[in-house]
Amino acid sequence: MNEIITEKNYPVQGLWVFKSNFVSLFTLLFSSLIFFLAYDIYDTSETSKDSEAVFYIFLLMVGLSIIYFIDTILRRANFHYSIEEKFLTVKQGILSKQQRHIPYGVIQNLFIKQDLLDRIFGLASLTIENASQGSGALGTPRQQVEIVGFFGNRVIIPGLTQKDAEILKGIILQKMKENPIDDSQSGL
Amino acid sequence: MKIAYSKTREQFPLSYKKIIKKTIASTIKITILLLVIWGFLASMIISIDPEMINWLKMVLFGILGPLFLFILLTYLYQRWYFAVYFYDLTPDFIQIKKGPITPREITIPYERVQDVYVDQDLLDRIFGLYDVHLSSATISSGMEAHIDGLEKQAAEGLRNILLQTVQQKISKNRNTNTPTIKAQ
Repeated sequence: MNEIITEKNYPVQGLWVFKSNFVSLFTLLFSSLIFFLAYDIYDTSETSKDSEAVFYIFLLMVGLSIIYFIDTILRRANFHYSIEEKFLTVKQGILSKQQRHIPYGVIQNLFIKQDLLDRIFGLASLTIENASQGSGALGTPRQQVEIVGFFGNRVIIPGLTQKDAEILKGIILQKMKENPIDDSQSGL
Repeated sequence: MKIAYSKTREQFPLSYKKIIKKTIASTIKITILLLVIWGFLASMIISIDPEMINWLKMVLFGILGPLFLFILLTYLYQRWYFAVYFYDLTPDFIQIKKGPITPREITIPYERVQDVYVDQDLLDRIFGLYDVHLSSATISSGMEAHIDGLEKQAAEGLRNILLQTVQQKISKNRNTNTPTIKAQ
């Protein structure tokens, strides 16, 4: 395995963009349905001012959803990881760029999880954690959209296919085995 | 019920009592919740119209039906959860995977284990079950890395083998990387 493995080998699937925005897209679709149904009724009556206000709120929602969606696409496009010989290098950032290098020896645990939508779309997310607290912690991430990249002590690679996630986990575990650190942090 | 056996689970099996324990635990929770809601509504309705007491009695029976359905569903879910519960001590890593619908899998190297502890909650005491927790330095490992519902013997066996392997791994790393100082 001399080749350096990057996100080109095991990519974050495009489907993940939809999956992570699923809730907001679904809400948008649902509310637009209600809005247009209600709009018909409002239009015939004489409360046009009310319907105008509702229309602006609706417009705001559409705008926000589109911004979130584009943001997710850009985040995904700007997220790069590479499994190098001694370090796991992760790059992220749309405007302000960040780079992070994690030695394999200090990885505390790997975590693969699938939520309900992941199960439906056949995706899985891989989290790599070490014991550091500082790096990459630029505020807390948004809650409603699943993040890609690193913050705090974790690197999250979401939207992998289930098979890719397993393979990637295997590769990183292999690297951890090959690169133990001298000084153990364990308290036992 | 097809159980996700690993070598470790064969050696230190989960107790079947775990299913019952979990079902009882969630039944207690939902019963208390329903009673609180019912009591609240009842006191409100009675304060409005004392004649409604008979009607409330009927509602109480109406609650019992869904409760039994809930218990049945919980039991089936816990059985499923029990069946897919996977834990394995491989030569280099500890692997724990659980959750039938939304699976979560954690892998911890032995060298990174920060502590191992065994505990029992109240229902565990009644059923004679033990939980073995182990964690690395991360929050998610504290949340995920535990093996619940072992009998005493299995819990102690698992704890001892964990401690032994961790000890071995650490001292092996130490010996290969730093010269040992001879005791006087």
